[in-house]
Amino acid sequence: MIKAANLDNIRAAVKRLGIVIIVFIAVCAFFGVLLPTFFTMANIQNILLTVSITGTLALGMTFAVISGGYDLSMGCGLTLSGVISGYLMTILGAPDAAAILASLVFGLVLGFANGFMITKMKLPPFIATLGSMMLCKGLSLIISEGKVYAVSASEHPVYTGLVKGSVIGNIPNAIVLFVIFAVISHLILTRTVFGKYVFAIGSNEEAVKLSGIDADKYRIYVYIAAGLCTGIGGILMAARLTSVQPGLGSGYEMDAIAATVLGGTPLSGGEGSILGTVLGVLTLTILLNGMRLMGIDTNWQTVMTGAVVVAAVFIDALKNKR
Amino acid sequence: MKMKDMSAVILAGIMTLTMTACGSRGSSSGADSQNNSAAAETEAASMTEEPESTSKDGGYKILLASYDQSIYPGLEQKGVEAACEELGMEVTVQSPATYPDLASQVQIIETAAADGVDAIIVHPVDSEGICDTLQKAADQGIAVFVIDTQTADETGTLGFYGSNNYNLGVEAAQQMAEALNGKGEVAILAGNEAALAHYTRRDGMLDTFKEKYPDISVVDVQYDNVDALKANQMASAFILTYPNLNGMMCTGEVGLSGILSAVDEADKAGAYTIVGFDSGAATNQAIKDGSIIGSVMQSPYQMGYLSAKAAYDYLHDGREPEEYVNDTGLLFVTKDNIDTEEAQNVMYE
Repeated sequence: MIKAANLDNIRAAVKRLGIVIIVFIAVCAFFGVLLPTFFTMANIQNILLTVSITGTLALGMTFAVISGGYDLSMGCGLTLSGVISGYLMTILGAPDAAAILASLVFGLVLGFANGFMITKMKLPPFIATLGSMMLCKGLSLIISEGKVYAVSASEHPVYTGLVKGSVIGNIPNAIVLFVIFAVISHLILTRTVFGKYVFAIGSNEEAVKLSGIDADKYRIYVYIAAGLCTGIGGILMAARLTSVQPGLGSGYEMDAIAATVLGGTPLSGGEGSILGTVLGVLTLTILLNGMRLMGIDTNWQTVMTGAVVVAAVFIDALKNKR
Repeated sequence: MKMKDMSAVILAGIMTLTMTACGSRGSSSGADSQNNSAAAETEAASMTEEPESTSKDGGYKILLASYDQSIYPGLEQKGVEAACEELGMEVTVQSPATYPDLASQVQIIETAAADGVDAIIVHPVDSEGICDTLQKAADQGIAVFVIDTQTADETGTLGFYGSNNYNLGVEAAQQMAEALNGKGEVAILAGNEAALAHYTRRDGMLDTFKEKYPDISVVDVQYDNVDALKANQMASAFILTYPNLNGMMCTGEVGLSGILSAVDEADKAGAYTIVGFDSGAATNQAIKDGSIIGSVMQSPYQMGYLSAKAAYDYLHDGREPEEYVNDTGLLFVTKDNIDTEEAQNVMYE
């Protein structure tokens, strides 16, 4: 039964990828032709750096959405992850590695808390992750006291090096890291038993439970994975901006959901792909970047992004009805 | 079934507690710690009297309502608290957790007004949207003072203590122009397009360049809405789009952090003349290491201190401030004057 579900998933995923690939190529072509600065190394690097951070969140969100849920705490969780790092390094003078570890552990704890609330306390993902989102938001401001922590490259070379250093040629580490994360995510989803169960839980949780599989356990793992992505995202954001802004981050979970859905992972769960999400994140980031370079008003940019997501998902749904 | 209900109730309780905690930075200080309900009754009684002849002697309750919970309002708070210590007043500080959140600020003020504060010192989230609320508070006999960002309508408020935002913009533009020897291309990140403080500073900048420095062209003005990631992205766009760009400026700390991180990412440290705004650890460091030529700093502490004193004068003696607009001044802090006492007084981490 699970094998059959997987085959259908693959077919559906390829069908759905169709739309995001078309939109991706369309935006690249459109802006590439209109803007001479679009395909410059500097701009491509800028796009990829942004994709590395928001994309990491989207990877975690993909797991959650395939399993039939979602994680609203990712945005504010990213902020709190950054605040924790910032606090440790700036106020306590802790070494970079300790701050990184602390933020990762925070991500795992956040993920576990979400998973626990959803499975054992039987709270709907909306309520559970909304609650943890607010907790993160409040804690960020309480811990930081509203301060912006400076994370300068000179004082924190290891931390900022995660994003800005270049282990491979001139490519910023953040981009390399994101590729690694994406590949790992893909392998987990498609080649492991855990991955199979994630799809299965998303399509038919009852059936999974009746088969004697501990669906709750795997669901908790899903949210732990999402939480880990949140923790990583916080580190990368703080390193990239060389500062921790306690008021930033809210709303990023929505971008992650948009990218996931645009990439062909429906909110109803049970199907989806990492490749789709990556293309979704790329497409949305390119769209925003292009509009910004064209000088389009910020607010219209937001409107356009929303329109693209709605249109793409709608066309997709139409295609699948036939 | 029961477990589910109970956990939902517990979670709702946690969420409510959290919302209360993070919806406001609440703190009370002052010579007297009064019981809230007792105070409310006394307030209700004194609210029906003429504001000029309140019979209470000291022990006034002040609300400081700022625009969010970042470090700048923290300094305003310090100023207010210092005045309250001296004059035996009690201050409560409440601000929205995120910016911009006008709805929360309105709620905070309305709640405090109903609760019976004597005076409100407000740093508005939005200069137009707050006017109605302040008018209603004034109608209830509450003394209202405005700091940092002037309201669009003065009625209902007794005085303004803050920087002359237009002059802040003028100063920033002048410093930039002098550093560029009067010639070149400049781009501006102007914070929140709807916030009076930001757009007035922008106007000060644009007017100064137009009237006094015709050889400087402002190639672009964008609005980062006080979002560090957006600021970074917009500054990156400036760098890419304008190959002959000489300088970048902003109207706030977040804008500056965006400019600095963008310059760093583009590997163009030192290629641009940058003028900052306000203080903060990153800005202070940037002044010291020369990444920016200097920053236009205000005195939020003075804004809080002077407005609280004015509140006391009004409540105690019925004296209104002599002038409505009270300029708390500015200081352009550079590498050369950063160690002076004057500079240290306006800087914060």
